[in-house]
Amino acid sequence: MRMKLKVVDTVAFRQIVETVGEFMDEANFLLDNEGMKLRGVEESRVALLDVFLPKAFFQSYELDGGESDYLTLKSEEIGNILKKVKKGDIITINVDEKLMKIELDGEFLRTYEIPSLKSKVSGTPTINVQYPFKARMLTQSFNELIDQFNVITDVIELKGGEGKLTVKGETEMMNMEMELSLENGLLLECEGSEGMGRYGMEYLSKLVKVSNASDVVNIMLGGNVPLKIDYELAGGGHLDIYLAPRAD
Amino acid sequence: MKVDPGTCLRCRATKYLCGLTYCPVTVKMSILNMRAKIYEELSGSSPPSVFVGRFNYPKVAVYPSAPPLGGDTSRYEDPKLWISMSLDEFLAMRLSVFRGGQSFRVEQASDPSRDLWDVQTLALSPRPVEVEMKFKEPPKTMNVIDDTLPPLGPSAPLDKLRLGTIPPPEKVVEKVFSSQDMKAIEGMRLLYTSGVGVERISRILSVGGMGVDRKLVPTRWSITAVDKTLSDQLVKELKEFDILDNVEVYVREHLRNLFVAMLIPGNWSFEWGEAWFPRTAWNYWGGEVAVEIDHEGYSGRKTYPEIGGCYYASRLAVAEHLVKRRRQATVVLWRETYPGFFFPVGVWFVRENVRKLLEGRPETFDTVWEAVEYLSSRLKVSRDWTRKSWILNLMRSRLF
Repeated sequence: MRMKLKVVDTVAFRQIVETVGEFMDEANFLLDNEGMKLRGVEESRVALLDVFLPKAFFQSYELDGGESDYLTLKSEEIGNILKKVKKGDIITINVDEKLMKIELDGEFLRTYEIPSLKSKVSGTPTINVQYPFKARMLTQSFNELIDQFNVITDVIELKGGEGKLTVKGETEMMNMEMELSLENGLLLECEGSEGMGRYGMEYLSKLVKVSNASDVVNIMLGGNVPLKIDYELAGGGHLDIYLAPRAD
Repeated sequence: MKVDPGTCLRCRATKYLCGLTYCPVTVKMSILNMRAKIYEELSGSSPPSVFVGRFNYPKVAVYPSAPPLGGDTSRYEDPKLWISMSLDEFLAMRLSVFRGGQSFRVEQASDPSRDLWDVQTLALSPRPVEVEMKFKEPPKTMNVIDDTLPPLGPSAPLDKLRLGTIPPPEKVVEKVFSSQDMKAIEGMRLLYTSGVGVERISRILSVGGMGVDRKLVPTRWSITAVDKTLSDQLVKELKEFDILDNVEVYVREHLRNLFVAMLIPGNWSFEWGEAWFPRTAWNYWGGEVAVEIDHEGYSGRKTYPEIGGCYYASRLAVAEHLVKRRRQATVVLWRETYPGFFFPVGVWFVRENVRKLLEGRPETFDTVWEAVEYLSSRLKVSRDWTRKSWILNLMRSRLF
């Protein structure tokens, strides 16, 4: 395997990798002629991640002989390196059979070399759900929503329909409700009929790191089916999370 | 005064959330203690035992301790023996351990005075050490009763400590103590893999006997630090092992406590739950059973569990079991504490009970729901567990 990737939007790249790391200790990205792809279920099988960083996301994207191959990133290891990334840095990742060389070039050049990994990749199940409800909003608004509910509750109920998305949380001490609609300007788009489900904050709170990588997020709901959260990324990419509804 | 039972459960005599300046639970229990004889001077054999307090941190009190008895007193500091004693015997023994206190700043551990050096040397000993303690005043019956610590007896300011012949520590203990560039985390792991018990490791850590930047560590903190550090390493190891084949259920009753383990085929996740019945230590005034659960997913947790040090003590015991079997599992551990058990005795009680629990023969099941059904006849608050369990809710909420 030989591949070379150069990223200019380094903060976005770091946030995407960090978010994946929140769900997976080890991420197996497939690199092919379209771009960098990841599809995997997190260890407790409550969330499925589907990430696509198209070639256009990278300043340069080279695969040896144009052949697709897997790139395994250990989340803790890569996270520790990317923590050092500053705005304006350029990341270059060079991978061969033995080594993965990561260069962070900014005020000065930092080079990290770690052994190349190639884990066994097993098939990931797919989720085919028709979502009757879809809302589009700023990632910033969605993050704010998560922050607000995260301090008071472990589970939220999302209910969509009639041009609005209603979020409810309750504890033994209090109830909380928040409404996002086209009318109050918190939704950019809203379409479809009713959808509803209850989802764990433990998983949703892992998503707040994507804020700089994505400006807009789509929330898709059905009748107690996995919630789909689709972050739009630069160059036509996406970071999608499917989250199982809480059954308790 | 009526105290919200949830307050005591969250506080456990650490934060005085009830608004009082003392803990009624602890005081109540102190009254029930057997009164030990009070001495101005004590000649005895330290198991060895050293207690480091946490109040006034970073200026803390360090207490070398001993019962007024000569000879082999090692059982005074040996949880492996405590677990087979009656509570009466255990408490009578522990509450006769007298403490002589001296104050030190925590950073003095790296450059100890003669007094502190003596205490550090005492703490390293593998066997009991003859000691003479002269107190500045007669020890008061202010026992240490705590959820994390094993109970300790009366204390007084220490005027003078004299040590008899100190048995040399094992080479590995000497190595950890003398290595100034070995991190505490490495020291703990080295001692553990060399067969040194977790209580001794936490004692050595608490007197500032390991690490690069050495400090005195309050005993309460050192016990949890050791349980957490060692179990972190074991959990990392067990994640490399194959998944368990069947659901295994273990049940153990001990001193009005019921311990239950469900080892479920799956990736590592862990849950520790406690159900305290009314008139038990941390639910003394409650009218209903108080159930508290803390958990971690595959990647661990980033915050300290509200349920306290028992979480890491039980996690260590179950991680040891899985590593020994070279298996990975999703783990549910629950404890029910029934009326009559109104004395907090320390996290050793949980660690040793879970170790014993997992030494037993399990019942096996094909599905977790069959196991839950089986347990419903053994547990007294079965419905609360299944409703509040993070792992059972997780199993119901999976994508695939």
